[in-house]
Amino acid sequence: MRILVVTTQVPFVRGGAEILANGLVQAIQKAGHQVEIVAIPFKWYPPEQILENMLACRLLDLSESCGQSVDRVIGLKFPAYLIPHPNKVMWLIHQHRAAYDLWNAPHSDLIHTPNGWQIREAIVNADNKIFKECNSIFTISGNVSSRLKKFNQIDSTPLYNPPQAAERFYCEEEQSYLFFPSRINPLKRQELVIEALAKTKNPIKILFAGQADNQAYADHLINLTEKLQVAERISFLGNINEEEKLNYYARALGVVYPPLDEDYGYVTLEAMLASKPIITCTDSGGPLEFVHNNATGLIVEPNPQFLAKAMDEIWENRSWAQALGKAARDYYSSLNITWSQVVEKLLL
Amino acid sequence: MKINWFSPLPPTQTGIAEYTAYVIPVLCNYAEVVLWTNSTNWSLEIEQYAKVCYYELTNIPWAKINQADLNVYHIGNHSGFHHAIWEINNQCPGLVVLHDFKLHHFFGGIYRVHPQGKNLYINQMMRYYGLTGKQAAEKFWSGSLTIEFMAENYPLTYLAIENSLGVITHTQEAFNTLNQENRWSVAYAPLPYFGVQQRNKNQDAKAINLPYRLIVFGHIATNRRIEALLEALATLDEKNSFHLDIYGKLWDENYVHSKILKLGLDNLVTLHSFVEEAELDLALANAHLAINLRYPTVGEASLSQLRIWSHSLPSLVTQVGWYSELSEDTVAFVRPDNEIEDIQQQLRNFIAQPKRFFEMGKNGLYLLEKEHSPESYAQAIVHFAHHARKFRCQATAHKLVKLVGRELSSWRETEILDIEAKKISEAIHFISC
Repeated sequence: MRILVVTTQVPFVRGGAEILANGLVQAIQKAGHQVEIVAIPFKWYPPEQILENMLACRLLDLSESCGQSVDRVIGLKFPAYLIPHPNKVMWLIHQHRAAYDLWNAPHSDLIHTPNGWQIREAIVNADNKIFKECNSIFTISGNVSSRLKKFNQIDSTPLYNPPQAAERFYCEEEQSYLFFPSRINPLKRQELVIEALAKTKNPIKILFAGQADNQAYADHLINLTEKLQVAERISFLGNINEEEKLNYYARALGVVYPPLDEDYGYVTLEAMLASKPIITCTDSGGPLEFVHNNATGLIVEPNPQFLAKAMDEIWENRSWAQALGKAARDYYSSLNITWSQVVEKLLL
Repeated sequence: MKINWFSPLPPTQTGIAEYTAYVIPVLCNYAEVVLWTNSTNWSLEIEQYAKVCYYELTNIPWAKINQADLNVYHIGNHSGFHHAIWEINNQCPGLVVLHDFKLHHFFGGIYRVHPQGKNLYINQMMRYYGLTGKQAAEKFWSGSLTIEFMAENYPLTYLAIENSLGVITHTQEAFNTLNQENRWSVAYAPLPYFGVQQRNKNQDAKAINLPYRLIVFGHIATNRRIEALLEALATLDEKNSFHLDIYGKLWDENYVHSKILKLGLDNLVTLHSFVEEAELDLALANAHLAINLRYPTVGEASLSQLRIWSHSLPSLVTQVGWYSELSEDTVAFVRPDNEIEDIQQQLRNFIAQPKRFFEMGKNGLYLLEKEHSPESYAQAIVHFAHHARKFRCQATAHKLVKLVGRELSSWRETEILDIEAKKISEAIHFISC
């Protein structure tokens, strides 16, 4: 088959969505098909730009290329998934959350604009229609499926996929740090972790790996570490390569990952693959589909005190932390998360 | 349903603030209402019914505003009270309640104080009325045309409601005019009146001792035809059968006072200026005939007329605009091109047949209770608000159409093919509807 994976690409931003798209393409190629990524650049501000991007996607024609038909389109993200095609399958990473679950959230942008309601209605309207155009609707997690059901009354099937280089994760004797690899932005809540660190009893260290979505927020975090006098216990590693990432996971005492309502959360699975316990929060979304409290990790209320307590517990009970990590690895294995399953479902 | 209500609020001295104070307690039975004002001073009494929020145009709290399902904007001719409201409607389409139809006074007030006002004003006049409008605008700006002429010939109503999801009018005439444009969703809801039950409804019981008490009240500008009324009274043979009480603020009290003296009416006319509501109600209760002339009008429905009817009071009205829609068994008409003669004739008619006029007052009260009930009005607002919300998508479609048109026209000299237009319109429809 000739297959196009349609997704959205914010220039200069790389994260789980890009890893997923690349992983999917490789898996589909491995299954013997021709496949390409079609990435639409996306800018969501000013809000009128959203409508224009939607219109642009809607006007595209991917039914064929160079005279040959495109047999299947797999939609991943808004607004790229609006591109019409007669044989489309959705594997939804997430919708435009500012119009849905993040409409009233502290970091929301759309609600702060005069035409926010208008744009929101257009997004919901278009989404409701596009899902009816799809042959099948899958999502990357139960959390994304729940949102789709709640806001659009649409049923979908979660389809988990393995993290990049899943087979290469390994575990070594832990060193005294907790690892937090992720894009740096308010939704990932590095700020919460910094505030929690200031409340820990032990000299816990945190390594943040990843690039900030914008420098202003990065500066804000650095200022916060200084204000709370924890700067010496925090390292901002920036972008790290794959080898470095595997290494940091392998030697971490544990992984702390408390995002706000994450769609899926590769970090959770990576930690499990590295046999490390995960500390996450009750409102973290995707990670909660994999972390079992006091079994494969710790789930706490999203406030600095509880998070600090969890970090201290891991720090003080190394054997227990190891046991949680091993249990996490065993649980991951039991889930049988493979690309071949994903491809099989999407190309059915 | 949750509604944001943008309106001047009491104690601001405007009929629309008074109207809001009356409507909100009833409206709150049918919807959750949040009041928005850009004045730092509002009556605490209204907070019993709805939360009051303050905004500044330089820092609009959109997140708070966007908590509601729909915004309702009240537009009238006083730019000081309504300019900010109109600006918000331009940015965030909502339901407009049009209190006046002819809005040249409104836009005149806005553009006269704007740093680029002249150019903006002339561009708008060009946009809505073409070259004729542009030329008139230039003459008006230089002072050679009056505001009354401009209001009559270039009402600029559509500029006020350009970005609206829907429009509520208080007059049938305004409804008909807007409806036939087929551009907006329009509804007609008779202006509500409150407080009928408090009135003495029995006009017959009122003592009929000469002189008959005539009454004029409110914000009295030149269009209230006081000069014509005084001249009519002065040359009426039966003038000593009447005494005229004028309550409220005159556009030029000294001028009116000297006119009264000049016409020898100082024993027959009393100027009262503004009085407490209770005192005005007492005056209305003791009056025999109200004079509620308006010419020219700006297409408004008259809260004053409703108040007159609430006292079962007969009245003389000018046969224009909303007044011309009224039945002859509820008001006595004065033709705008025959004022003095008609006023005199109606006063003679009153002397000859006072019972017919008292019956007119009773009919007015009946009409008030039947068609101007606050409950009906509140229900109409909410019903139409539900309806208007659905037109938000049309505003989206309209914007996208303009965008595509602008984009295509910048690099295409020929018209687009039907098939291209179809694809584009389908895409826009997909997103917006």
